[in-house]
Amino acid sequence: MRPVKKHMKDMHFTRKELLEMARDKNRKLPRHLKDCPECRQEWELLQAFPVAGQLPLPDAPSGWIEKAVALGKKDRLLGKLKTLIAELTFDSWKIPQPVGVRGDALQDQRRLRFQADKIGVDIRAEHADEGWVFVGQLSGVEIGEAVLKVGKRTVQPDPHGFYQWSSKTPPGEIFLQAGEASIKLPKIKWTKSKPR
Amino acid sequence: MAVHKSDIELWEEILQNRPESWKELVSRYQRLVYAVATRSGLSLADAADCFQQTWVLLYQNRRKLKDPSRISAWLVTTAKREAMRLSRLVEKDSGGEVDFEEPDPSPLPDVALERLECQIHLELALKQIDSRCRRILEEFFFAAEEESYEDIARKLGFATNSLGPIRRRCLEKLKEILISNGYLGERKTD
Repeated sequence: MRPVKKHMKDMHFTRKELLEMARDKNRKLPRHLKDCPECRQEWELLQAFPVAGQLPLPDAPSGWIEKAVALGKKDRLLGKLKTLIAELTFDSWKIPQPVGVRGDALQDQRRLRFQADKIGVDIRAEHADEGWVFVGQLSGVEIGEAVLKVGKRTVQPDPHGFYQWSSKTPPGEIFLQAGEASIKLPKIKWTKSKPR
Repeated sequence: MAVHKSDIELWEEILQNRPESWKELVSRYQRLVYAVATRSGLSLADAADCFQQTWVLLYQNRRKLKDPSRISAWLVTTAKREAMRLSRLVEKDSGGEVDFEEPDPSPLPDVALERLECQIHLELALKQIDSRCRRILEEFFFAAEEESYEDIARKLGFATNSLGPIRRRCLEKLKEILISNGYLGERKTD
């Protein structure tokens, strides 16, 4: 390509000339470009940003952006709960039994609900011959986001979000764990005090 | 005008679980990831996966990211890798048959990715500058190659001889913004 010559102090390069020089990095730079700070600055910026003739980048569809933004919202809730102990808000063994039902009739089933901020943990327990069967369900977290730690066991949710496990004895400590956050469920007594 | 936070400042806030900072980061670079995903020869559905997975990976690896000042480069590289992975899956699903009628589906070459990255930094800096300078500089950078300064001055309604000094001052402002954003300082311009 023909070298561009500029000798006169006031004759600045045209935009086209600057663009051509900015693109060709192996080109020997004309004297004027070295001596003229104005042309030099324009040339430097055009070289750093070779975008002439292009359109500004378009936005992604709003639905795509919203999904990406939503990634950052989960941890706010869970992040606050790092050391939180959930509260027992419902225990079916503590409600008065219906008239006519004998004292121990409902003792083979138990429903518990725990709450920690906006996260709810529902556990249904059923006593069978071999031991206990448990089904847990979480609200306030997405399916698959959290696991239950029951003693040494880690219980993963099934595709519908249910946590199912069984054991010969009632559970000791239960934790809900999501990433670095964990919620401890209060320890529950599994023996009913005998009526006086 | 809202205070512009650097990528490093935003990143520190993201590590403190501030969703509004994550939102700002996504909004800052969504066009860059979108450009890589949609220009890599993927179908729209695969481009959507590529876009989403890039952000998921960034979020999942947020505590491992060593240099948050290079976040745009990280996004470009990750989006490119995701595009390549998805392209391979598509090829595998089609039994390795290549349709020669279709345009080349290979991901963008590195030089094109670098250009996209520098374009987003320029666009971000232009958003930070005052509106008059923005108008002038958008023409300076994005106008068609053959457009002269006279054409641009006419389009903007300036006298040709007054455009030069205004443009110069605007370019100085832009340069300061690019340096404070940490972008221009790390690039070799000569």
